[in-house]
Amino acid sequence: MSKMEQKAVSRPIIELSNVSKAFNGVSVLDNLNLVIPKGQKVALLGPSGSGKTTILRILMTLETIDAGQVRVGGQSMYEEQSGVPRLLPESQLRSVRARIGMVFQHFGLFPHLTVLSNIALPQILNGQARKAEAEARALDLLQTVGLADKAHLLPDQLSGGQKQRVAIARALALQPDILLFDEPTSALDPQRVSEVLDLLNVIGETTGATMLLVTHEMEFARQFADRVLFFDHGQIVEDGAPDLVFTNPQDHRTRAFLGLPARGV
Amino acid sequence: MTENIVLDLFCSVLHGLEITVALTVLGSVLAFICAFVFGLGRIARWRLIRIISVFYIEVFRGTSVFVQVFWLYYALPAFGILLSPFLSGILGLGLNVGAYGAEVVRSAIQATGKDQYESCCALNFTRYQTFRYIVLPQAFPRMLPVFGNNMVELMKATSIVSLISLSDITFQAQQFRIRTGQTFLPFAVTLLVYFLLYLGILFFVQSVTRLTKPKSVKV
Amino acid sequence: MGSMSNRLRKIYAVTVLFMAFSVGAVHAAQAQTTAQVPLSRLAQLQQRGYVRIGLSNEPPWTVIDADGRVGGVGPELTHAVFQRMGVPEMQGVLSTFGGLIPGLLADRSDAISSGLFIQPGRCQAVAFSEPDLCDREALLMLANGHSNPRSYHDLAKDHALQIGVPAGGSEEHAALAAGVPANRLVPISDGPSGMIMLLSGRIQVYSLPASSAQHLVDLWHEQKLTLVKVEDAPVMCAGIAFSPRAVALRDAYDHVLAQLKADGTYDRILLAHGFDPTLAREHTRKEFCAGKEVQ
Repeated sequence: MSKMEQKAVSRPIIELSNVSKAFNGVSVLDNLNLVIPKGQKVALLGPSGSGKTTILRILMTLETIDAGQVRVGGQSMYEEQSGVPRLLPESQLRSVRARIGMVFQHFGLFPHLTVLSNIALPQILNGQARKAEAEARALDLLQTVGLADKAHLLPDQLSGGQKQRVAIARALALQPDILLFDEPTSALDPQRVSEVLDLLNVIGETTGATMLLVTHEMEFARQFADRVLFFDHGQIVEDGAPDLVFTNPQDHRTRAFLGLPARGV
Repeated sequence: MTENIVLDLFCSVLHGLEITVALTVLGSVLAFICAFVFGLGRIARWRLIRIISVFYIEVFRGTSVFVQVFWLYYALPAFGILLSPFLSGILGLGLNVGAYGAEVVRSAIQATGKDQYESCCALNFTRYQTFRYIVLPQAFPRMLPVFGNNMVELMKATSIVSLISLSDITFQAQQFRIRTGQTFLPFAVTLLVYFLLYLGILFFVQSVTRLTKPKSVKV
Repeated sequence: MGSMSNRLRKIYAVTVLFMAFSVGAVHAAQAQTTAQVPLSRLAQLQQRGYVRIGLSNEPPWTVIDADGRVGGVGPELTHAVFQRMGVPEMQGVLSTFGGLIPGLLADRSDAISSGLFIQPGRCQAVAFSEPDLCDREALLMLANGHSNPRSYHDLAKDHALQIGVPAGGSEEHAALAAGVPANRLVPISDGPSGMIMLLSGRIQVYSLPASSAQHLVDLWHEQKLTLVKVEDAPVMCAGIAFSPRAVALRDAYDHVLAQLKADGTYDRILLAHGFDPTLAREHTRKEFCAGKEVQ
C-alpha cells in the first residue's frame, strides 16, 4: 500500500454510527455502523425492505434518522437535541448535499425541461456555471452517455434506459464526491438494463467518485464493486470483497439469499 | 322609430360592454393574484398564514358573490369605508373567484410528484429554486384550464353588479326592455355579446396554454 | 314603482332585507359617534351644490334614457323641491329597486325618488316625506278575455284566472285579503315580463298601479288590451325616502313641498305627466305609515 492509499483509508468519506431508523414502528435500520473510505465502490445487496435504499436516502437527507450520527467528509449531519438527533438547518446541509449526487430508480427527470436543460439547470442554480458554459458541459456529458442527439428532446420522448442515462449525466454534471445509485435498472425493460450498467462501469473507471449502488443485479455487483454489503432486517450481515462474499459467504442468510446450500450441518 | 330603437340598443350595449369587459379583465387580474397569494398561503409553512388563507378561501367560497358585492357596497360604508361602485364590483368578483382559484393553485402544486422534490433535493436546490424552476412551471399549465373556467364564471357573474348601480350589459338590456317593451332584441344581443366574450376568454386561455407548453426542439 | 317593486325578486328581497337590517344595526351603533357633525345636512347639500337621488327605472314614475339621463315625474318634482331649498343640481344614483333602500342607508344617495310607496314596513327603515305621487291599482288583461273582472273580489271568484302581481308589491296583500288563493298569484319581476306572460297566456290578469299599466298599454299599442281601475283597492301614495338620521332634512323638504303644492308648481309637473294632483292632498304620511290603507 502506498502512503496515499493509506491516508485515504484512514479518512472515511462516509460514516454511519449507531444509526437506527423505523417507519411507523417497524425497524428498518437497527443500530447500524458503516464506514466507507473515499473512492470505494460499494454494492448494497439484500432482500427488499432490508434497509439498503434507506441508507442512500438518509445520506441524501431524504430521510432522517431516529438515533445515531451520520458524517459525510467528516462533517456531522445531525446535532443532538435532548437526546434526539436533529438534522442540521437547511443552510448548513447544502454544503453536505453539494458533495453527493443521486440517481433514482424512476429517474426523476424534470418533464418540462429538455434533456439539455435537465443537465444544465442544476449547474446554473448551484452557481457552478453560467448558461453557455453549463450547456456546453451538458452536451459533453450527453456525448459521454451516448445521447448527444437527444439533447433537445423532452424526457417523455426517451426510452427508460435513455432517461436513466440522462439522469446519470445530470448527477455527474455537479461533480459530486459521492454518487448514490438506488436500483438504477429496476424500472427498465430487461433489454435496456445493459446500457445503464455499461455506463456505470465507465463512470466507475473514470470519475474516482465514491459510489454506493443498491441493486439486484448480482453478477454486475460482483464485477463492479470493490466491496459488497449484504443487508438483512436492518443489519449488515456480510461485508467483504465481492469474490469472497459471493463464493464463500459466512452468514446463513447470505447463503440463502444467494441460493447456496447451508453450510456444514 | 325602428332605427331609433336599434340605435338606442346599440348605445346601451356599448355602454354596458365597457363596464362588463373592464370588470371581467380587472376582476380576473385580482382573482389571479388572490389565487396565488392564498393558494400558496394555504400550504405555507407558517401556521398563521395557513389559517388566514383557509379563512379567506372558505368564507368567499361559502357565501354568495351576490351577498359579497352587496356587503362591499352597502355595508362597508357603515364602517367608514366608502368604495366606489366599480371598485366594489372588482373586489367582490375578484375576491370571490380568487378563492376558487386559490384551491386550484393549491391542488395543482400538490399534484407535483414526490420524485420531483427528491430530485431537487439531490441536486441541492433551495426551496425557492425548487418552487420557481421545477414546481411552478409544471403546476401552472395544470391550473390554466380551470383558471379559464373561473374567468368565464367571473365574466358571467359580472351581471350582478347592476345591484350596486353599475350599468353592465345585462342591466342595460333590462333598462332597454323597461324603456321600450322590447324583449327579444335586447336579450338576443346580450346573449350574443356574452358568447363572444366567452369565445374571447377561450382564445386567450388557449394562447397562454400554448405559450406555457414545454417545447422540444427538433435538431 | 312604489310598492310595485318592478325588479324585486323574492330571494333578492330576503337578501336585501337581511343586509338592510345589518346596515341599520351598524348605523344605529354609529349614530352616536357621528353626532358632532357641525353642519346640518341641508347646509352640506347646499355647499356641495347637488343632491344624490337614488332611483330605479320605473316608467312613468322614473324614466332613464339610453345615456343614463334621469327624467319622469318623480325626479322632476324632487328636483324642483331641492332647487327651491337651495340645492341647484340633482345627480341620479341608478340602481335596482332592491338596492334603493340599502343604498340610502349606506349613504350612497341622499334621498330616494323612485315612486317608493309609503308602507308601514318601509316607515320603520326610512323617513318618508308627505305623499307626493298617488295612484290607484289597475287590472290589465287581453280585450278578448272571457272573464271581465273589475275587482280583487272578482279575481277571487274566478278560479281559472292566474294573476300576475309585482314581486313583493302591495297588490299581493290586497289580492290575498280579498280571498285570492296564493297559488293563483304569480310574482312578476318587471313590466315587459308581465306583458309577455299576459300575451302568452301564462297569466290572464296583470295587477299593477294604473299609471304603470297605462305605460305598458302605450308600449304595446298594437295589442287590444283592457285596463280596469280596481274598485275595491285603496289609493297608494309614494313619498321621497330619507335616511332615518335625516329627519330634519325631510322636514325641510316637506315644508317646501307644501309650498309647491300651494303655488301650483306641483300641479303643473304632475299634470304634464298625466298624474292626478288632487289625490295626494287627500292623504298623509301618517295614515300610510299606520297601515290603514293596506288592510
